[in-house]
Amino acid sequence: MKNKHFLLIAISLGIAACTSLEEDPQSFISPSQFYQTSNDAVAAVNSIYFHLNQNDIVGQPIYNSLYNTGLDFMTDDLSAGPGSPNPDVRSLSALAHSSTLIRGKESWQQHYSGINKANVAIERIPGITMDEKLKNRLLGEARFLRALYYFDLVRQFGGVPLLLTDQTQLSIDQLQVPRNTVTEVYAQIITDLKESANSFKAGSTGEAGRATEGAAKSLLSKVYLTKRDWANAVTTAEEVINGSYGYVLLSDYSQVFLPAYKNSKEHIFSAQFNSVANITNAVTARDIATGVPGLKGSYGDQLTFYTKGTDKYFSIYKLYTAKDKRRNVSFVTKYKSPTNGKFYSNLHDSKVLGDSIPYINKYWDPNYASTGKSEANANILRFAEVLLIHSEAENELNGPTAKAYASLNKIRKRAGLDDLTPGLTKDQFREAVYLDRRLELVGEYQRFFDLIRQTGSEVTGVGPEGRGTLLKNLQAVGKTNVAARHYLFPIPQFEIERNRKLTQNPGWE
Amino acid sequence: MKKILNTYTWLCILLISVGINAQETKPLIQSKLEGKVIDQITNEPIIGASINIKGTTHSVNTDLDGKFYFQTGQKFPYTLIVSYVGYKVKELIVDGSPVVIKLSQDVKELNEVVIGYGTQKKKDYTGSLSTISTELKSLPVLSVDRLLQGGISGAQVTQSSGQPGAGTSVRIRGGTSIIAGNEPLYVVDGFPVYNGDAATDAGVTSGPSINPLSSMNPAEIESIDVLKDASATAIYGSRGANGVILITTKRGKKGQLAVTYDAYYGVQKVINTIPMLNAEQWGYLKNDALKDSGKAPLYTQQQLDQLGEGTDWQDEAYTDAPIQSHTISITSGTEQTRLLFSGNYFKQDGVLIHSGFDRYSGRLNIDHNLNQKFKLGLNLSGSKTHADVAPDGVVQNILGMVPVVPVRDANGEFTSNSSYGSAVANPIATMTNQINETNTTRFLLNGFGEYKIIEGLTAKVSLGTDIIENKQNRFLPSTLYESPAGGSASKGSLSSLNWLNENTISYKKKFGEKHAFDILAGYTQQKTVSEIFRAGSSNFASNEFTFNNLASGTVVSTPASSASQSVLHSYLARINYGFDDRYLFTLTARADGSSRFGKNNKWGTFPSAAFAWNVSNENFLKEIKQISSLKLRLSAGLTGNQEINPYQSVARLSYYPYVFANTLVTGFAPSSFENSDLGWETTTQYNLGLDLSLFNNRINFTGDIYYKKTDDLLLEVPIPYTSGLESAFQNLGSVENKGIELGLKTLNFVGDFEWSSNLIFSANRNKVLSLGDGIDFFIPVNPATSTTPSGIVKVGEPLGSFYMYKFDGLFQEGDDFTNSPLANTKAGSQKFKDLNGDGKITQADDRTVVGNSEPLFLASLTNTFRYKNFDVVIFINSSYGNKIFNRSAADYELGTGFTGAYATLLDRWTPTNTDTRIHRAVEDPSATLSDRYIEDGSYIRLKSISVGYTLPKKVATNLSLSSARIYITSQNPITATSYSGYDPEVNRNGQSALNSGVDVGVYPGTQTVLGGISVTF
Repeated sequence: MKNKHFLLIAISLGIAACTSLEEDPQSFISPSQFYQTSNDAVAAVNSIYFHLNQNDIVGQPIYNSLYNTGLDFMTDDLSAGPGSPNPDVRSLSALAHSSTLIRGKESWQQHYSGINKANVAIERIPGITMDEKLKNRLLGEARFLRALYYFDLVRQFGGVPLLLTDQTQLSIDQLQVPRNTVTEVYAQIITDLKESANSFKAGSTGEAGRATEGAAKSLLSKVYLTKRDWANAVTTAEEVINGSYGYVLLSDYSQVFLPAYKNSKEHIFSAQFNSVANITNAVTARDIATGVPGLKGSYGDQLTFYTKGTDKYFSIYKLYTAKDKRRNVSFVTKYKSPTNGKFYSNLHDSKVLGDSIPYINKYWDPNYASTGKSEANANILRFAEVLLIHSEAENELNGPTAKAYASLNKIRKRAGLDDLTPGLTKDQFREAVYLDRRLELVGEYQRFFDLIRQTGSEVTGVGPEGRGTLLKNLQAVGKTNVAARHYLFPIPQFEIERNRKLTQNPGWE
Repeated sequence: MKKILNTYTWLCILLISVGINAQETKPLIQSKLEGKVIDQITNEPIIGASINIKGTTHSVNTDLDGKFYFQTGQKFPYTLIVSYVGYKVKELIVDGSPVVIKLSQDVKELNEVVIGYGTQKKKDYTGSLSTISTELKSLPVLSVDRLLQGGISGAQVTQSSGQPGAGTSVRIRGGTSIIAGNEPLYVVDGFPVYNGDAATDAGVTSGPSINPLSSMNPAEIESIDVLKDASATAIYGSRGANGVILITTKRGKKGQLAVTYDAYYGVQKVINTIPMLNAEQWGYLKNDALKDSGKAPLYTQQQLDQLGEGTDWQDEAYTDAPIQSHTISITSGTEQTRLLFSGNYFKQDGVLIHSGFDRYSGRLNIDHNLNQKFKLGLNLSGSKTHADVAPDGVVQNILGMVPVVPVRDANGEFTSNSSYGSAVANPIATMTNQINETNTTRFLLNGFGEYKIIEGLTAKVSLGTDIIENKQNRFLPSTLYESPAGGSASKGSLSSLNWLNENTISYKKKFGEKHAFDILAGYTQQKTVSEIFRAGSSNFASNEFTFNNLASGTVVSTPASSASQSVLHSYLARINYGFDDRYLFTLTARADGSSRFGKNNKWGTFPSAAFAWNVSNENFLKEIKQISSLKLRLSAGLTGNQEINPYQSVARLSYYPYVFANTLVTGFAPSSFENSDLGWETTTQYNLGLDLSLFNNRINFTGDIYYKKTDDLLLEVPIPYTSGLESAFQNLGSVENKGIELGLKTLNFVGDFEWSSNLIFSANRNKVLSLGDGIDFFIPVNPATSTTPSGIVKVGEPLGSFYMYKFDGLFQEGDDFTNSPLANTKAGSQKFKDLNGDGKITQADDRTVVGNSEPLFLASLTNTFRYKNFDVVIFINSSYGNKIFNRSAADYELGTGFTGAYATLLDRWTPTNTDTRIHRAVEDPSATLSDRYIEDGSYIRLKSISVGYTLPKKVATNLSLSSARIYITSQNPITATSYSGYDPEVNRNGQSALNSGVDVGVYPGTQTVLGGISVTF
């Protein structure tokens, strides 16, 4: 009998020995085990790219549905369609948003998520013993991405907190930080991009989709253009155009957007999508009409339609001339059903024949109907834009020179258009570049940044000075409540509540 | 060190073994005794009762008339021990023959209560404890948690869905936590299980989670005791803050083999349907909406006239559904070994077609006395449950389908979807063709050995395990609109193993006449290990495989797997001291070490103290015969909450993939803040109670008032997004709950006609006191509608507060439309109040708290009538003052003409109908949330009315039955409420404290009529 008691005791003793209160996570890695090898360094840099088109918390990813709804909807090109029932997005589209705007919060949040991952990489990688060439390249990529995220932030929000170290190593109190000035943020962006461009030594270019020296310089020229630093913009753009990077325009405009041609010689830097990896482009479905059998579309993105003369459904679609090949690539007015082979289109008004609704077509993936997933990349920098930057900056710096004409005419030629009328004035040339830039880049999340960047008098909307472009263009399409405060997004109320040191942008208090 | 000391103590205790006491014998003197044993209330003879003369082995059983006779060597007077299953054992001194012995049914609640690591006489108990009454315990319900609704004071139970098997949210004395769990701890035969919905959810099935407690057959339950105040719950320390529900299952008793068969069968129908526009009415709405956008109408007058009724999608979707349960239980026992076996089959079809739940379960409880000192017990239970779940969105689609769309097309195939601006998948096709199932196998096994070292000193070692295997399958065939191309399939599994070892020692002794001690000490440890795995693919060549050949899908979803474990070590002690049955003291303490907390803060100690005064035992009250008992109770103490996921305190790197050259690459980056100091949520609770029984226990009143303050909340504190993260787990902030609970139990009539009533009332007030330094509020994401938050957690307001615009009627012609936040504002648009008066309506400035989901009070009344062999139980439950956010109304009162529409739109604004709250038809698919959709959720519901008939003993015996009862029950036949949705008992977000009281796409509740039988052989 007593032996049995012993057995019982032995069992409970045995059990007592095998539990511990220490936690040993099995599905996570802890930082102390990481940042040791070159593979760790690569993984640290890869994680920065994640935020280009994916999100880890709730919300829309940046070069994906976030910029589609959160930037393009504010413009004269696009608005919230019937498949965008989210009141937040609709209010943004109607410029009726406030500092509680969720898309604004998501943009702030996700850029900073990317920035902190860049900070971690830039802080940790120098201490890893590894191939120096690879180490430099990785640091170059990290700095490029940090610059890109800050550039996007400073344009949307103005002077933002400039944080350059891993924030998760700080105490919670140290996270209360004030805003830096716009000048300080731009200075850091330029520093990072210059260092980045110098980090890619010959031959040290990674797989397709990684940042490169050419990407760093292209972005730098765009930064200078935004700062209206015309001389540096021209110089840097010319380094890209004349450099050894091999960038060219694809001969067929439609190829620029088809997954089959992704990462070509025109694509300088793009957000990479792949259906097998389940990193897919959500904008494709948002652009497609509803009601096409076998094709899942939500018609979330709608062109901004407005009344011009007697036309109640005027839009950017009707700004293209008949010869312009870009119109029928950028837009589609009928869809072929993959199930029954019939074509489907929708009229603006069933009583008026012949005026079908155009839908954005730049994110079309021919495999979408069969896989339900789109791997159309989102362009962040492409060579056509560098030419446009060059042409615009050169005109601002030296007037409509032959160089300015040459760069713009390359774009026009591919579009099937004649060369731009020679002998334009500087002001006329500026308007011509603005128009071609808009028609070339529609739907590529550029329009809002252009509207707040381009010069134009607050009275007339045109000219070499001022910031009237946004006001005049949006008023013209019926978004008449546009105001000076819309040059910037409000600092998200959600963030002000978390960080009491932040101040609100003018007009959003 | 503590551990080693502890186990050596055990060693010493268990080594002591004492032999069996010898029995005394007495001289023989003949005497005869005859008599009859009857039921005290019905006066029915009790057949098979055992009569034993105390101190001897001589015993006889009663015959078919309840009579007995024996001759004995004992001399009058002597003591008889009379016992029968289900009745209280009676000891009486007999002084002559014949005798009539009345046995009363063993209604446990008046005597012994289960208190956690032991039992106690209710009169000696100092804490606040409620017990489910016998009448309610026999209600036919799916799972034990539902018995708490209206069954005890201070419990708020809300079902999250009418889906058969779906979970509930239970709040004992209000929610104490914001982020961590708020469910009470369930202790099944000594084994603690936290009933988080995630416990049996692998994450593949879409729709409401299945209730982990649904694995247990409620008919197996002997008693349910609910511990509420700190004195009661402190013995469960770190898990006591939300109350503790002690479930004791039935056990075998000494006596003959008894076989009982319980069964019921019933039919359910949907509790309510929502009036929708028919096809013709919808056609007019569509035309109006188009006209509002300046477009041509869709229908001509002639077409409108021909539209007629169209499809009633609710009528297509909801059906009469059977429910049935069969339980067989066998009990048998000798002095040495007693056992109970029970088996159950339960099946509930859903009122929404092709949904349902079924369960097979079995239990074996064994008690065995090795000798007079050493006792062993085993509780083995296993179950297999299966549910076909209505996926998220289906109920919305039932409302969202346009009535002009037929269910099937001319070829008899399901129409895929409606497409009038918004695509809505055909819900009938979805429910008919999809597979969305969850299967759970669960074993709860525990056993104990109890050793009586000396009289009063008992050592107990128990060992138990809870094994859960959940497997989920989901398949969408290619024919469904919502399916990706080629159909999609996924599978997932969750396995968890939770084991427990408890070692306690208790000492019960009365010193002299006045000093009664009951002391308990123990050491326990519990460990939970779980792992989850999910995989899926889509684009199949054929729909034949369903989810059984994932490899044949050409598009593979990212698979997922994870593992976690947590450990809890505890020391516990309790001292009960009673002085002269007048002054009762209880001191309790538990120290818990939990792996879930930071390395600097793993251990927490939870003490409590209570005092009770049995005033009726004082001399000055003894003379007052009207007062049967009067007790005052006072308690204070600390309890804790540890219900957060493991690993929240450690720094982690997470996986952030990307694509280069069309190849997936891995990325890793920090995803959490380390917090080595993360520790317990601590609740301080004070309780003042009064128990009063009058007129020979005919009137029993219990009243409690309490105050609970929870500090160091386990908050996922929002941190600046500039950190790259959004929150960090911190101990910050506090929440208070205060309330009152009243119970009044009366025996109104006794005799042939018996009538008893049980009135329960409780009111709780919850308030967020602090959210940490400088933080006034935060707005949680509503998982039901993630793009439009509807709630707020705000200092000074209760949890469950709704935060929206204030609706200010509609704009009329001639109004100034400039400050409207809505695009396309004109006459007939909604108007909102400009709360800060800045001339603009903005989300930042013009939303306010517009109500909350917390009821002002809950009340229930149970009336039980007995006349001869008939019994009637009427159970009424009510909730008053809680608000419901009717999100479905916000969606289907939009009047877009894009989806199906509520019939309330018949009263929509038109130039000729301007005096209304329903805005004009407008093609704007976005609902602007305002208090227009906040409705009063108060209700009074006849929860259950039941009529039963018990066969007279004699008839039963002639049929060779020991007893038999038949009954008819109607559940939820009548509800009085002004709520316009399906059912005021609604809670889309289940157990989450952040967004309670939301109704969107919730599977509606049911009305049931059922008949049952209970036969014992």
